[in-house]
Amino acid sequence: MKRVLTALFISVLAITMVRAHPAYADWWVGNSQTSAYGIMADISTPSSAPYLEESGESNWVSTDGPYWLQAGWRYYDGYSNARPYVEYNTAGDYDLTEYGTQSWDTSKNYMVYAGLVNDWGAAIDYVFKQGIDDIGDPPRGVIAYSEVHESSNNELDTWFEDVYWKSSGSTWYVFNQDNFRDDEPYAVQEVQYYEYRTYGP
Amino acid sequence: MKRIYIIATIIVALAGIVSMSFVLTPSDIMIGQRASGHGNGLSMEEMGQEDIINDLTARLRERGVPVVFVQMIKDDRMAPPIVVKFVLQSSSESDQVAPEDPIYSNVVGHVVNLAQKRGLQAGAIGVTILNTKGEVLSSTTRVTQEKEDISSRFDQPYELDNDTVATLLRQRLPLYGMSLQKIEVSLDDDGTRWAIVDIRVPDIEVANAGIASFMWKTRITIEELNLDEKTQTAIYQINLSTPDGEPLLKYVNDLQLGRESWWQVDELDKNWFPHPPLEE
Repeated sequence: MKRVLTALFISVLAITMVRAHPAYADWWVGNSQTSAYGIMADISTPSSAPYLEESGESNWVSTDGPYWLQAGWRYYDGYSNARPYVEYNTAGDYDLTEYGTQSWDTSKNYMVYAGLVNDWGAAIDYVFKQGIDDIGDPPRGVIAYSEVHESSNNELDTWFEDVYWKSSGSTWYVFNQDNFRDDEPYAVQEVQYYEYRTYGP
Repeated sequence: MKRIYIIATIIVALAGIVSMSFVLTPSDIMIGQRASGHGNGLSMEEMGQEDIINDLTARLRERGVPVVFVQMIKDDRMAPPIVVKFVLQSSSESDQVAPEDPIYSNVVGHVVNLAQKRGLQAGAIGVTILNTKGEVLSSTTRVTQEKEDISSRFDQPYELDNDTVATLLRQRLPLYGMSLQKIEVSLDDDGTRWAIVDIRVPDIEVANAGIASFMWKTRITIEELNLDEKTQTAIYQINLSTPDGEPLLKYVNDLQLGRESWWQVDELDKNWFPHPPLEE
């Protein structure tokens, strides 16, 4: 009887874990700050192209939702290199623009920041790319995550360094909150709140 | 209506002034300026600002884009120091854009890029979308991109005709349980090749089961066909709807500019593009 119950428990647990990530799924790992006027981070690419079973991965800084502005790099099946991008969603208007490539084993600075009068902007390597209104007033939650799309066999190995949040007074501070998120089979190697590696599976 | 347009003009002008606040200061890590601008050819002064505005307005309206007005604003923080601002009229009566609005916004970028090839000097594009009450739904600004000349990547004249390209797409596009209704391949008046793909699904569950794989596999397929078969599809659109014609997704990808724009119902799976976790 004990064996039957144990087997039943394990089965239920396994089914639950499978249902936690259906076939069409994303995994998110990294750290966040609950209230800020901006975020920036130096986000690196791995030393070589990661293995992708399907779809791909993105590594970014972003405001939280439901409407957002995001900047980072992504790598999908069929790409030769990682590609920096800026993406937004406001009022159901979605848009994503890629800006060139990012070589393997290199780092770029990605930034999303609040400007004047509820405006938000995104920059790559300190060069303004896009600005947007109507995604919500600051302060907002800000996030520096890796996101793996569709397959938990996709390899992840990304460093986030010098992760800053911006105050209302336009001063940048290193992340100082422990809001680390693991998402099995992906995890965070925590060095500091503002320096960490996302990896898996 | 005139009052709404005046108010919208003021809003857009103010947004244009305040949205570029990124002066580099020692205590504030901010934004530098992009490197030098584009192209040779006629300067704005030589072409005439009014002529440029009229030209852009006409080209967009010919493509069905509901332009309210176009203006050009000097902004020394941009390179070149000109922002071309477009105000578009949405059919939406609510606080959400209509399905076709992101498509229009994407077409604006395409038309401006073509104008740059003809000598337009512009450092950035602004697009504001108004609902039927004159309220701002979306207001964005983007630097114009330094892209290789269109002709060097999607060479003209084309080796294949539109029907052949449509056939190849029909044969190769993976559907993941969805139904292909129609593929239309055509050339813009500037020669850009477009492919419009209409897909039907019986319900949202079928759409969600296949949409993520369909979206990234479609891109790969079109880019592989461009490379291997010289199909030279520069822009493709995907329209996903139910049997009743209810739109679920309206999407456009300008492969020349590396820009995707879309609208989707909220219930449609979002895991085919990067996004913050929904619960946070």
